[in-house]
Amino acid sequence: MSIPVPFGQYVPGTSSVHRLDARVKLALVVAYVAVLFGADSWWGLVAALAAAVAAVAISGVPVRLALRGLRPVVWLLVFTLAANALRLDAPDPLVSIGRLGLDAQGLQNGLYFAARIIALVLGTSILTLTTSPIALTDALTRIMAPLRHLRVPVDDIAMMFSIALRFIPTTAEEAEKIVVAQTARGAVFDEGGPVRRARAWVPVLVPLFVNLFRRADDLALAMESRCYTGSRRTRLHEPVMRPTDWITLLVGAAITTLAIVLL
Amino acid sequence: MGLTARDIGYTYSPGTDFAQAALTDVSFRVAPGELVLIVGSTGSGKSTLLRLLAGLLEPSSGSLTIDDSPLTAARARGAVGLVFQDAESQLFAETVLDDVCFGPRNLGVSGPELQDRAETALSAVGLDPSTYGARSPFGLSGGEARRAAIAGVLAMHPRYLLLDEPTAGLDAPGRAAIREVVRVSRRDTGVVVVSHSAEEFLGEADELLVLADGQVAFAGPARSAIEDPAVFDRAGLKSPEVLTVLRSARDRGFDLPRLTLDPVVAARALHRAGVWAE
Repeated sequence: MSIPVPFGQYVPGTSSVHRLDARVKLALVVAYVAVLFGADSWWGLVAALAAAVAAVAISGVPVRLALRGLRPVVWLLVFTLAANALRLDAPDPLVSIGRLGLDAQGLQNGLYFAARIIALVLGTSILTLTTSPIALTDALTRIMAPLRHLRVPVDDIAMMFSIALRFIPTTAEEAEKIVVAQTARGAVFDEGGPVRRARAWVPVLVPLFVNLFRRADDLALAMESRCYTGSRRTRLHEPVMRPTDWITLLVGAAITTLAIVLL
Repeated sequence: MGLTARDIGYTYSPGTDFAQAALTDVSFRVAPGELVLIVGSTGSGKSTLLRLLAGLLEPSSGSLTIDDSPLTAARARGAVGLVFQDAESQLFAETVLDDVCFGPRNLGVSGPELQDRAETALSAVGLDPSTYGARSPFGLSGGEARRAAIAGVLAMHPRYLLLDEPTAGLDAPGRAAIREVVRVSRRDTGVVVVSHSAEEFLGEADELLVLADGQVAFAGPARSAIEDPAVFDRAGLKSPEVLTVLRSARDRGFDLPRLTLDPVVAARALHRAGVWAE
């Protein structure tokens, strides 16, 4: 029996998207989101989607995996569409059932917002699909580095990030172990309605959290006993911005500005 | 009658680059009232075999039967009780009694019978229900928590009880308590104990299965393994120390007709054979 654990989705690869400096990728994703919300038109949306599709194609990440990120938001999409398109006592409904009618303008708005959510998820997924969690954390830390002057505990935050990442597989393994153990005690996880299913996870989550807290406590003691003081740490491999990284960043910035101004 | 595996094999992630054969052609049988000990070093496939026997995994090849019917997850449910390594980490309820009730409640037991089963199971593992029943499982010592977890499985009244490294990480009284649980449970249950060392249960076991690299290195009466140290060497395991002492005395020509795992009995035999005089 294996329980699919939806942690992390990095797909290792050697494409140019994979090799791009994680800081550049982060910046481009921020720019992408800015275009999505800044260029408030169908053209802006189409341009953003085209960019996202191109990035997926270049990265060589299987389309199936790129689209997998949409699964959790399916209900959000349905809700967005329904909430916009359905209207009570609509003046000129396309279709109507009783007082509830399908409004043409609402449908168009709903489609627009749903498409924007799809573009948002797809675009941001490319970052996590092509960047290892460690590279991502490093990038975040380095981007935050100037905040040190404002006395933001950047190094502590970085340490927290990397410890959290380090414990994801451990936690997944532990969760799987407890699921199997409770299954052996007759627990059923995939039957009944949503409430019953949610309740079935209580015997998994309680011991999982208790063990996590215990482990966190042990880890803190172990770190202290090895003289951790939270001072600034150096790296074995300092990431360096290559010419291609700079070019991609500048081109990305230019396109973003154009898109927001023109579309 | 019995829980039987015939030539079973199991491969993790089959058909991928990560495919790894955990077990090949393993045959095995435990009958009610029997104690079977499975030993093997880390990664020999012991825990995989237990998961297969509990119906949590399906074998890639071979067949599993329980009391002459094919073993399915549904048939294993309740009939085969599995206690995991560090089982105490599965406790979750507010009170020990409530946690022990979890398994039987999942099987549809309720009312006075549920209460009765849980209290009997707690008593069977040496935890007095009136003292421990209302306590939080998170406040128990390691040995107590392990026993509470075993009680949770015993309360399901399994016909077969599988224990994965039940004494690992416990202090001497904790280990003794677990051995006593095994001794009591095997009266009417088929018990399988998995361990990386033969020391603790070999003396009481009927049958011994030694696994090495997912294959059977030895299968036979536990008694014959006591007489033949090569059984453990083949699997890269250490022979119990008492046996090593007795055998070396025997090799030097002392008259020791019967080997034993009990240190006190062994000392007496060595004394009788005249080893002390040397």
